[in-house]
Amino acid sequence: MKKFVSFVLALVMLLSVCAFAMAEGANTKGTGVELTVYTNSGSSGRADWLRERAAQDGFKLTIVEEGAGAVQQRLINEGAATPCDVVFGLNAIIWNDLISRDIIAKIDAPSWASEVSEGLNDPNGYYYAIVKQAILLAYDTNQVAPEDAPKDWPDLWENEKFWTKYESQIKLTGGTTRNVLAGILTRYIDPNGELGISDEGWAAIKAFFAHGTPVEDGVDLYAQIVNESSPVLMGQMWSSGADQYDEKYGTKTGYAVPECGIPYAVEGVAVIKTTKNMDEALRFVEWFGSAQIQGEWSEQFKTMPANEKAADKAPASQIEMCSIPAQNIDWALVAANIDAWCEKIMLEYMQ
Amino acid sequence: MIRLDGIEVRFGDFTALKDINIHVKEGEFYTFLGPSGCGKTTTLRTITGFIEPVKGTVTVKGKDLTHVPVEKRNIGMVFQNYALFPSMSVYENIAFGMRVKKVNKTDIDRRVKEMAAKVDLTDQQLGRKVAELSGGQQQRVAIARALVNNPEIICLDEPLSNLDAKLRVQLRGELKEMQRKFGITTVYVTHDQEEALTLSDCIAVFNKGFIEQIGTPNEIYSASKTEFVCNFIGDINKLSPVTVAKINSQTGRSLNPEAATYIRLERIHVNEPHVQGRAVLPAKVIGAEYFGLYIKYLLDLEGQTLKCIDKNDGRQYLKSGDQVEVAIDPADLMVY
Amino acid sequence: MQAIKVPLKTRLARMTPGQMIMFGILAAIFIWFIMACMILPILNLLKTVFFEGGKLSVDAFQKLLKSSRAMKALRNSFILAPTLSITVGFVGISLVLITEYFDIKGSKILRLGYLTTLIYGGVTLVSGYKFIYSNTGVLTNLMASIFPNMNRNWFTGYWAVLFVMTFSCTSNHMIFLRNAMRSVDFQTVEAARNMGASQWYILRRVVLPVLLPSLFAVTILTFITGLCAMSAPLLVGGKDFQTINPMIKQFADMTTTSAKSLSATLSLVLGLATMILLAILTAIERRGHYMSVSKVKTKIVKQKITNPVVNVLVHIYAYVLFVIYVIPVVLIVLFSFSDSAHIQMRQLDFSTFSLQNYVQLLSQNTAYRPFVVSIVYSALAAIIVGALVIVACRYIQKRRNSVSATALEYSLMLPWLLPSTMIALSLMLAFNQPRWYMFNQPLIATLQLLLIGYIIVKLPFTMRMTKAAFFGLDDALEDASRNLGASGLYTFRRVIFPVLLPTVLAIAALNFNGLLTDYDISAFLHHPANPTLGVKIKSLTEEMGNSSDGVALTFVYAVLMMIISAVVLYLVYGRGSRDDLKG
Repeated sequence: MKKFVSFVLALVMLLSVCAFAMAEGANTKGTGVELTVYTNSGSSGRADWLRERAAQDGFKLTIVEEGAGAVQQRLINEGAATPCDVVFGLNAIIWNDLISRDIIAKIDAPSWASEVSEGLNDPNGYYYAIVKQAILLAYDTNQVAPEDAPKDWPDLWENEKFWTKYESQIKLTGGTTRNVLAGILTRYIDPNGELGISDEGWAAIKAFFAHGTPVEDGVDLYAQIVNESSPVLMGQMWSSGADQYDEKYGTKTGYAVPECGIPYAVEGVAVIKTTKNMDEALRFVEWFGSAQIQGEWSEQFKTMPANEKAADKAPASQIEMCSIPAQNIDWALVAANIDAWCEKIMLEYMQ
Repeated sequence: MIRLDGIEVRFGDFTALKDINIHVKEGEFYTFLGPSGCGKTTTLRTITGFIEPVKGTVTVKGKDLTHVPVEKRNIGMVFQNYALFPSMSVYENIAFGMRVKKVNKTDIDRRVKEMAAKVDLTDQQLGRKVAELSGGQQQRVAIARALVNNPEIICLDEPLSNLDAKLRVQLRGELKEMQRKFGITTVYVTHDQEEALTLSDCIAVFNKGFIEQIGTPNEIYSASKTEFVCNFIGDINKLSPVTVAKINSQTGRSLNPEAATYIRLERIHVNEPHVQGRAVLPAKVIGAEYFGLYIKYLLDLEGQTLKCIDKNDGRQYLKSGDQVEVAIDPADLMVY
Repeated sequence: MQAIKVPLKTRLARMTPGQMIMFGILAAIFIWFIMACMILPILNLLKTVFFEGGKLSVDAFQKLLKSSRAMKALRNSFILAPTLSITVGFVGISLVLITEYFDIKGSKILRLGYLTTLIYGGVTLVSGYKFIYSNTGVLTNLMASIFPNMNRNWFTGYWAVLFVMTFSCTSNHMIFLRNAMRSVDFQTVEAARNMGASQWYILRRVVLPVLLPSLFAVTILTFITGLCAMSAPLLVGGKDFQTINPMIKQFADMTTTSAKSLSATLSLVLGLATMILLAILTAIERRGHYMSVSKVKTKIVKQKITNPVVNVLVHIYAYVLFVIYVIPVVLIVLFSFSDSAHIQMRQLDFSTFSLQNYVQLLSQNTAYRPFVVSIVYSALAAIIVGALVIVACRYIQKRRNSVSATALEYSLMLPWLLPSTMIALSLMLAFNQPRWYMFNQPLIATLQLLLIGYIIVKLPFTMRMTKAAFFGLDDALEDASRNLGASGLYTFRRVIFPVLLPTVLAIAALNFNGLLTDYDISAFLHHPANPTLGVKIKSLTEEMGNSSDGVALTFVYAVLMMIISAVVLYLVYGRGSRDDLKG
């Protein structure tokens, strides 16, 4: 009898452990319907990790990994013929562009949407945030003392001592670059100005590009910072990159904390309107954004999850960087105008 | 004029020429004759300087040229393919050598035109590209180009080998005519024995890097020094030991029946009145080739086939199966 | 060389029913392919870009004319192209003379060094040069240790771009000009010597004139390469010397119609310049063609340089060139064993060397697949392009100067009008919906779409070079074969094709190697589940997704691709060079 009781107990314990484990894993399971996922956040083994992790929970994924701009182009140009079901990674600017082109499906908020920090999800219910990246003006504290460092982006062109010391971009399609430009230009909004920006704003942008050192294609910012022959000491950086590069180059990143706050590149997840697998796509969104999966992702790839319940899984440095207040930016306005802004910059101001 | 003394040429391990001794006299038409790969072109190239011998000397008019570079020798050359410059006009091809020597323009023009006239090239042809000329015209350009610098010697490397038979015969005549006109010392390389015999004052027959015989066309043809030479030059019959023994018994000679014994086609006399000292043997006609000028008969003589020719003078016309008598003069036999 | 003109009607009437069916099928394939895959998509793209809302828009022109940056870039491109043609011409001719004409000690090794441009290019190649000349490069460090006050950033701007491109654009010389050198009749050299000409005189007056037609052809290709320069200005042009093509790419990468119209406008400028050059080239080709008059050519005997001082100088020059060519490759291979940080800082530190990059790349379960995908696509495209172009050239050869032949020739050159990004875009826009001319099948996310893209972008170069080979054919060969009773097809298969084969294979190998690393077309057109190498490599260096060793992995990929390219070239040329050894 004792034996039987202990057996039953053991069985119950085992079952409960299993159940618990399953609950921990994620509440939602996939049904094995094949999903095609586009992402700009698939390298460094992310795509492989996600494919395998999702397979454990019954999702069958084909992941197409490309740069953010390429994913955007692809979705636009494939139109209704796209095989894509779910997209994740992209930033608010691109999301808004895709929404305006009627490519993204409006979906009911997944259960974890309420766990995401205020203001990161799309208020209209098109995309939901998963990872946040603070967009920083970064420098190496070994070379520039924080008191000598710029406090905000305008310092770079207004203060002569930073001239040629910062990188100016040569390609304006990158997400980080566009967030930086949006963060600067939206300070000068003037409905009567050219492309909605005041003359003062354009003068600022002109000075920004005129006094920077252009990026050397193929060489990253930190390689320039540690290179004694290069004048570059600072430039734009996304928060998870700062940690990675510090580890790689032995630098110690410092960053400006502007009074008006900083732009955040919010990596989100969304479903494509033309998907033929809507139910499975929704299940995937529910699964992927859950605190459990986002926590694992964060641990694995040292990023800052948007899901507050998973925030403790992120490294301390990420938590610190991402505690800087967000700049108040009208993303819809940015999305509507950023291409025209970039075009003007490329034609008139870039070096 | 030209002396080659003890020339030896090697290509790596291969000895291409061994102990070549040649003396070309001034104004002479001298021919190197032999099958391909026998060393005749190599010898010519040694004279022009494209090849430096490992042993021996090349002298021209008593001057040692053995180690003088090609461009300093002033020996004209006509190449097998003519080697005309495809990017230049006929005029420019002929003028090339003078341009190199920086002759002034009016002189160049005068001499090109003179030379062109001598080789029968019209002014119109001078303006053409070389690719537009016929084979015979190309050859004349090549010769003009070689002669325009007034070389003391001209070397021709199988210049007729790329031409059709009729043109070859015609140009052969022109070549000889030109040589006579210019009186220039000529060294000529050919594998065509007919060409060699008709053109040359003197012939050197080459075989496997050696010279087999040097002599006038008649000496080479009628008194071939070696079995190789008599086989290479002209057509010939080899007599069987049985036939040689019969000739011995009829004429009282003591030729060695086992030796290689040859007789030229035209020295076999068919159905001719008997002449003292000739052996007369019965034979049967088994075939005939009609050439017009002469008829070539194939005869069966005791099991061996002999070729002979008979002048088509209306004296006789034989048919296959006819029984004939052939007469052979032992003096005409070449024995090795 | 007279082709007797027979009207198409008569020719058709003379055909057997079988021939007629084959002709019909081939004609249908060509007309369909040219219309459906090239002309209609490109017109569709131009319409989208320039006729927004049904009205012709000239905004792009006005914007560009106002943009000092665009005008400067345009000017730079038109400065670079002619100067590059001269420098590449000089170096290219030297390479050919060193490897094929003069007797230079160790010329076989030198030749291998000079051939390295065939196995790598673009960003990888320029990175290799930067390892040597940039501010932390090997040479700069060396010079800085002698002249401590020197400007370490000396390797930038026009001269740097010109330098890198001068040595990286000699591939065509090494293939096509070297072939021409081999066909020089050596007896003409001897004849000139015999007439007393010096070596220099012979080179100038006898040898180079014969090379002239080939030299023209490769020079025009160099000119086009200069106009379309991309990696070198981007990587070493600096602030002062940016060219037009990177700008075209940047605008093409943007999603708005207005950016696309800027891109298309700029590319049409380059495309038109290209077309004009090609027309000039075609005219030159018609006029001057030095068919050697010799029936039997004598093989070149390497010329020993007689002047001892010149001989020493030429040897030094040959080996300096060798070093310039080989060191970038060596450094790329070495750095592929290092880590990303050291690669980016360009510090060669042997203590950082490990096999880790290779292990990591080869153990990733998604790593090998892009290799297979790229190899299969590149090989298929190279073969199909080769076959299409041979058939087309044959038609053009037979019907020289007819309207249909000219139309065919220029249609196949059409892709040179637009950069590959735009071609890819035109295909994507055309086939993201059912089109009647594509049998109502949308091609998005199909395997064949990328193949079509690859084929199209390689058509012009293949056409250009194959046509040159057809022109070089001895007409007598064909006459001889027909005279022996062979049919046209049989003659082509057994006589013409074998003669052309070495050139055809060489072009196919070049196409294969070029496509292996393609990013521009693949990025748009690749099948979702089958990314190509270029796409994979690009994703390794994307921001935010960037891992700490992305750059190092791109070097591993570069090395592996160099190996594949080298193997392909060996298979194509290996036999030929063994023949050389014998000769």
